[in-house]
Amino acid sequence: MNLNNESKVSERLKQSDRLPESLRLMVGQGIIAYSMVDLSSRFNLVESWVVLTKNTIEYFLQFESTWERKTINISHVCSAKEIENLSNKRLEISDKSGELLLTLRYSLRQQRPMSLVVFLINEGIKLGFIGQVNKSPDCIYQEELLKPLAESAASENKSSKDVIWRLLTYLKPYRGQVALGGLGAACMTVLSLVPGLLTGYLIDDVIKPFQSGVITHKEGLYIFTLCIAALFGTHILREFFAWVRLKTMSIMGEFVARDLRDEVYEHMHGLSLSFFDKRQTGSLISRVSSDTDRIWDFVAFGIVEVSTSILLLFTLSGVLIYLDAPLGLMVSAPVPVLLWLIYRHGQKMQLLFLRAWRKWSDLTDCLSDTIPGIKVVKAFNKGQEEVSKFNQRNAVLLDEFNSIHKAWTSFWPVLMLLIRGLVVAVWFFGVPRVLEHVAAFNEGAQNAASIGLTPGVFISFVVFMTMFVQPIEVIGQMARMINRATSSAHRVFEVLDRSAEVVDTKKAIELKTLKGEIEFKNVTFTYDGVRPVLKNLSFKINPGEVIGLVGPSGSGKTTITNLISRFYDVTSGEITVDGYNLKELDTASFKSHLGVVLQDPFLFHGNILENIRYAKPDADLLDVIAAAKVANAHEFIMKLTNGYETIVGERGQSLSGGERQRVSIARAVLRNPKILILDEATSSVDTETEKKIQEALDRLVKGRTVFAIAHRLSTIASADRILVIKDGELVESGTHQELIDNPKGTYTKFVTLQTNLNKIGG
Amino acid sequence: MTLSMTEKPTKGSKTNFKDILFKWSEAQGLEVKVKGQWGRARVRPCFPHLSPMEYLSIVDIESKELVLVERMSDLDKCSSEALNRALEESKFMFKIIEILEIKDSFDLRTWRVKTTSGPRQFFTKLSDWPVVLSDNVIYIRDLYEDQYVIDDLNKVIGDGVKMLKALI
Repeated sequence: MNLNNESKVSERLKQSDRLPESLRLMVGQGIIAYSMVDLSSRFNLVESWVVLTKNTIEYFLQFESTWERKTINISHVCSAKEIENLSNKRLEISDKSGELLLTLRYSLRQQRPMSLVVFLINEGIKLGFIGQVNKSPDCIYQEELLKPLAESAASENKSSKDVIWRLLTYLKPYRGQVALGGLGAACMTVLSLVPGLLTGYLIDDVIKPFQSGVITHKEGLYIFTLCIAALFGTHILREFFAWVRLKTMSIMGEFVARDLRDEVYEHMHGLSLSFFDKRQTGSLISRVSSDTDRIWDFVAFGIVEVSTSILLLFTLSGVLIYLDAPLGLMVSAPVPVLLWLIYRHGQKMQLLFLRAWRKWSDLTDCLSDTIPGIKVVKAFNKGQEEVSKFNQRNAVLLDEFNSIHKAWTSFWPVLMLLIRGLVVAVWFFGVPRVLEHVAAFNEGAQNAASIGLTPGVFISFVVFMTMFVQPIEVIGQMARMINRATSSAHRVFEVLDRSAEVVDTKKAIELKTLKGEIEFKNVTFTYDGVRPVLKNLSFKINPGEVIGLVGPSGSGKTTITNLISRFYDVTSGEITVDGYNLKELDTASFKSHLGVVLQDPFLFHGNILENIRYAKPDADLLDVIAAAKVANAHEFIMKLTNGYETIVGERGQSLSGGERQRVSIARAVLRNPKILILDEATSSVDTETEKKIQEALDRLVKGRTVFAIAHRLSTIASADRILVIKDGELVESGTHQELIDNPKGTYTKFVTLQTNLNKIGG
Repeated sequence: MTLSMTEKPTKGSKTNFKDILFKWSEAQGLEVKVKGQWGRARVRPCFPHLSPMEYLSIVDIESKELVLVERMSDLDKCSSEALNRALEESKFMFKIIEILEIKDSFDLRTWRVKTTSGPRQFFTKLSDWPVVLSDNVIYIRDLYEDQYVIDDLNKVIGDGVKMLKALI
């Protein structure tokens, strides 16, 4: 039982997380799968359930506090068909006469668990009963329901607080630096109060006593010199601590960002292909680059900025109240109100930024549509229309940005006016008290020091007041800063929290040498846990045998090669390599014996030499040339000005498709693998190039176990054996000749179809 | 029963609807009579948002088009009612009447709304924006591809309306 998923279904989707207990009791044991059906025939949101057992389809519709039950025996069902509508689906279950036995309507939110139910019913129609699945019905229902949510969101519904705490754990290895940076910040904050205090001291304890003749000119100058030295020393110390803080925290922030980048990138390499299939490349790249950069910003400056600002605000308030309680309270009390005003302004700005972002998105949509499609725009002479569309959107964007500027430019002066108002209030209430004090002092009152406000304290107040603005501003922006950092951290943690589907066992066997014998023993494989892509597949391949895999799209050919490459593990059954279960082998040592040539060969940015050597970085230059010759690549490489050192550009774009393919074959040759997978290696090139690639492949396959997938049957006609795969099952096997000798065979049909197509194509 | 397409939908050529009848029942759904034969059918609007009541493609259970109905007014009253009932399902979207809250989190925008079908909480990506068609009609597609419509922005109520206005 997956408690986490349960709570997500109920909390996020606001629907039942599992089949109600009362229905379980009614159905009894043997529930195979179920799904909620959430629309009534009049399209009201309701809770009804469809439940599958071995022999029946049970449907429960809530009627007031009871459940209406309808039971259909699977043996009476002839078809179960989903009909797609705009924002709902209808499931029609019919009997042999075509009469509808049951019609269910559900929103698209329920379509994943429902489509599994439909799949199981249709399988059940063939078998006469509904087969068992490996997962619990609760698990299937919850996982399928949550899949779109999980694939779209890094968020696992954790709070910002959790994310920040987790982020802070990355500071653990740098405790010393954190302490040093924190100390630097604290000292800097405390020292920034000294000039204000010194100013007050200078007035009250130097200038005033000198004016009244309490101290001499010489004594005054002496104290004044000491004050200047203290002020200068304070500034030196303050800047020293600022340097300590900035240097320590920014360098430490880089270390944290590096740790995160290393961890994320390494973790990514351990994840299964399905993780990458479901995510955009740009989104993954940004998690390693810009997201970690934002985290650096937060760690290096954000944490300290916010904490020092809070510290400064509290210290300032404390000092002001200490210096003069009534005036101090008058200045400190409005601070929460000011912070609240900044918070409200932040919320308003968030909405305005959202509006601008929306309009910005409209503008960039315009660019991303027209620039790649500029040929079409020009061909249809739509340039002027596109320009007007852009200008229109640009004008709307301008309005939005102007609204933003109007909002912040009116807010901050008003806020500053309020703060300056406090300064004026200090003057208003402070100056009469200063005069009162001076009068008492001039009259030589004994308790003059405790009457009114000394000029020094008053001046200190005025100086400290100017220091209020900056921390208030920083705290006001704290929410935005934390939001940015937590969203980035969230996206990074999403990658880190994914666990690899293929993991080596603790005692994984390292294969030094490999013969290349592969056997599939009753292999079943499913991507979603229910719908098998390969069904009970069994075959044995001898070392050095060349196998052609043939079958329609979606039949399971690529899944077979994915399993051999151990991109995924089998759901049931086993694959053995030289008699060892593939799951027990050390993946790295096994893959060192594996070579792959893909339909769309991928070359890395760099030169041809580096790309060929990718398979074996320490390969001798002569070996590289030899590999290129085997791959029929040497000739075209030598026509390039820089020979093997020609830069191929991003993804090898400076080379043609056929040239890229031959470089990728050279890479495979250099690796000298015992098992070779050729996935549609010649499908996207012209006949002449195909001939060259085919010659290269013929040389490459010698002495290796080869799996070749090809749509062009001519390319695999010479294989030692051809396996014909259909709907995940092995339907035929034999040599080309043996297979075409069967006139009704699937392979013969393929050959006939392709021959006819070739005739049409001339 | 297999029905064949009666008329090709070419501009200007008027389909003769005299021989084409529709009926609707809870048990069988939409049925169409073409060339004297009744068979189960489905209706799909060609322009579900722009013009949901016109240019209706009538397909059989194998999704093969039988006829294209350009306007409902071309049909007799009974057929028109039957087709209307079938369209309710075909073009059904959740109609939002109140937006209780729209909240942005890390990756998703959470919408808490009241619809004519009942209360609903749904999610959109932060970069997926509501689409404004015309006359204040707004469409929203959630993560699950479910669609929501606001018939008139000026009539929708709730605390989330302010946020919605920022999104369009």
